[in-house]
Amino acid sequence: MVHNERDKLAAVDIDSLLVAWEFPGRQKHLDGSKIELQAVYGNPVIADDTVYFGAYDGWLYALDLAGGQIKWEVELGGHIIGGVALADGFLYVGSSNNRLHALDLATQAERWRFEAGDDIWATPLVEDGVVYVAAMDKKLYALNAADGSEHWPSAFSADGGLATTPVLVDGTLLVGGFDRRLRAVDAASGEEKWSFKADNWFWARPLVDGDTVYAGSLDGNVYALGLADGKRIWSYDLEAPVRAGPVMVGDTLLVAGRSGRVAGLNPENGELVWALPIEVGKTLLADPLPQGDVVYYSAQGGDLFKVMPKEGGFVALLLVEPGTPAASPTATPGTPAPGTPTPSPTAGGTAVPSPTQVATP
Amino acid sequence: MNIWDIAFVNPLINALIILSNILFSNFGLGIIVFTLLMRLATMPLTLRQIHSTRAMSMLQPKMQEIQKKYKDPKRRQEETMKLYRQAGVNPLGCLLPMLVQMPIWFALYGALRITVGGTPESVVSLSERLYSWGYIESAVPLENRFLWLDLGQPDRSLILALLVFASTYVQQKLSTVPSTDPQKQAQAQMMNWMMPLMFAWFTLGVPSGLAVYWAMSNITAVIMYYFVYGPKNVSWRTFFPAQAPAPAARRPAQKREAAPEEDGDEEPAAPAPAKTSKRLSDGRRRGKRKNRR
Repeated sequence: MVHNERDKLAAVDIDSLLVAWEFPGRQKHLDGSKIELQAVYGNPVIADDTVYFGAYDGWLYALDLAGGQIKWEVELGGHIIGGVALADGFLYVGSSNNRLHALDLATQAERWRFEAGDDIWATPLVEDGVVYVAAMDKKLYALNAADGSEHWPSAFSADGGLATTPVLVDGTLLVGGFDRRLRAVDAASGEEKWSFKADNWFWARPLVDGDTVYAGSLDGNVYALGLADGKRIWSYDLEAPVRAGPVMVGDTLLVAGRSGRVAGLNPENGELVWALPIEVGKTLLADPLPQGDVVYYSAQGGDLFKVMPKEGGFVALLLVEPGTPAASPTATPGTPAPGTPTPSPTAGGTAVPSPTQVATP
Repeated sequence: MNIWDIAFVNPLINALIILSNILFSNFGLGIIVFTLLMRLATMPLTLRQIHSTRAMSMLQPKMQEIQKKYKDPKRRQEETMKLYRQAGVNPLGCLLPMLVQMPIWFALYGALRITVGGTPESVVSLSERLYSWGYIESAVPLENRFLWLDLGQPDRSLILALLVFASTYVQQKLSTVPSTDPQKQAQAQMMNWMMPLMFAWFTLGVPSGLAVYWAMSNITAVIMYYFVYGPKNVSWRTFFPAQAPAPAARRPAQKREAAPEEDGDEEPAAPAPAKTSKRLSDGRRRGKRKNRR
C-alpha cells in the first residue's frame, strides 16, 4: 500500500504496517536540488513496479516500488493536484498551469499537451481511446488519446469549475461541479442528460452501483440518485462537507464527512446500518481505499484508519517507521466497540494537514 | 460557524471575490483595491486617530513638565486633565478609533487568510462561506498568480519581506507619539525596529497575499498621513534612527508654554535618576538660569 502525507509518500506493508520507504527522505532531484513536495493530493498509481504520482511542487515522479528511488521525474510547471491516469503506455496528468500532459512512459517524452482555459485539478479518465478531463474553466473535455484533439464538437460546459474526476458508466459520464450540480453527460455526444442540484458543490467522486448514483456534496449530504434520470432517492446528512468518495463494501455503503464521521448505510434506503456513526476524530477529505472487507481512510495529517463495515468499528493504525525496535506495536492501538463514537487518534505521520489519499496497492 | 464569521468574515470574503471578479479575475488586484477601499471606508476613524496622536505628541513636553513638577498623583492627574481640556484633546481619541477599526481589520485578515490559500483543503473551507450566487462561485479557484507572486505561497524572493519591513517601519514612525521620557523613547525606538522585523519575518512564512495586504495597508496609511499633514510634517529625516525624536530646538518654547502652569504650593519632584546626557545638560542649564535670576 502506498500512503501519502502532506509532504511525503510512504510505502507501507498493509499487514505488518511497516513503512518500507518514505519519499523524498534523503533523496534529491536528479539534478541535485532539494525536493520539497509541499503536498501530494492525487492518488498515486502503481504499474510495472513503478509508483507514479504528481506533487504540489509541480513535479511528476516515477519511483521504484521496491525502494522508492526516483526512476525518472518531469517538472510540469504548475501545481499538480489531481492524480495520474495510465493507459496504453501513456501517462496523463493535469496541472495548475491549465495543461493536460500526455507522456510516453517508455521515453518520458511528451506526446501531446492540451491547454484548457483554467487549472486542471481533476484526475483524467481514459476509456476506449478517449481522455475525459474536467477543468476549472467549467468545461469537461473529451480528447482523443492518440493526438489530444477534441473528440466532441465542443466541450461540455457547466456553470462552475469542475474538480471531480469523471465516472463513466454505460455511456454516461458523471461529473460534479462548483455550480452545485452533479451532471450526467452523454459520453458519445457530450450533451447533458440530466443534472441534480445540491446546496453546495460536488467535489467527491461519485459511485455508481446498479442503477443508482451515490454522490457526496460539500453541503454535508450524500445523495442517492437514479442513474437514468437523476431523481433523488434518498439523502443522508453527515453534517460536514463530504469530499471523500463513497465506497461499497458488501452490502454496506460507506460515506465519510470532513469532520471525521464515517457512516455505514443501507444503499437501498440510506438508513444507518450501525447503531451510531463512527467518529475517527480526524479530518477526512481523501478517497478511501476498500480492501476486501475493510476500508482504509487516510486523514489529514497522516493518520490512517481501518474501518470494518461489518462490525461498524474502526482501528487507528500506528505505522512502524524503519529501524523501530520489534517490540514496538505494529498495529491496532485501541479498537472501539462497534459504533462507539469515540475517536482514537494515534501517531502515524506528521502533524501537517493535508487531504491525502490512500492509493491502490 | 460562529456569529463573528457570519457577520463579519463571510461578507468580506464574498465582497473580496466579487471585487476580484470585476478586476479581470485578478486576485492580487482584488486584494490591493479591497485594502484601499477598506482604508477609505475607515478613513474618518483613521484621521481622528492621526489627529489625536499628533495632538498628544504636541502636548508631550507640557506633560513632561507636569510629571516633573507635581509629586502628588492626584494633583498630577488634575493638571494633566486640565492640559487636555485647554488643548481640546481627548486622551481616548487615539485609542477609540483604533479599537473601532480593530474588528474590521481582524475580520479582513481572517477573510484573506481563508481566501488566499489556493490549496484544495482551503477551497473546501471556502465553499462553506460563499453565498449561493453563481457569479461568486464561478470565480473559484481564484487566480493566485500576481506579478512574480503565487498569492497562496510565501514569497521566497525577499522583495515582499523588504517591502513589508520598510512600509511597517515608516508607518510605525509616523504613528508613534514622540516622548520626552528617555525610557519611553527607548521603548518606542525598539518597537520601531521590532514590529517591522516581526512582520518581515511573518512574510517569509505566510501566503504572500497576506503580505501584499500588510504592505498595501501600511502604504495607504502613510499616503493618508502625508496628505493630511503635507510634506512639511513628513520629512524623510524623521525615518532615520539617528534623528532625535524630540528636536532640541522646540524645547525652549515648550518650557515657556509650561511656565504659567507652575504652582508655587507644590514642591517640584526630584529628577529621575536615569537620564540621558542630553537631558542632564538641559537640567544644568536650567539650574544656572535660576541661579542667575
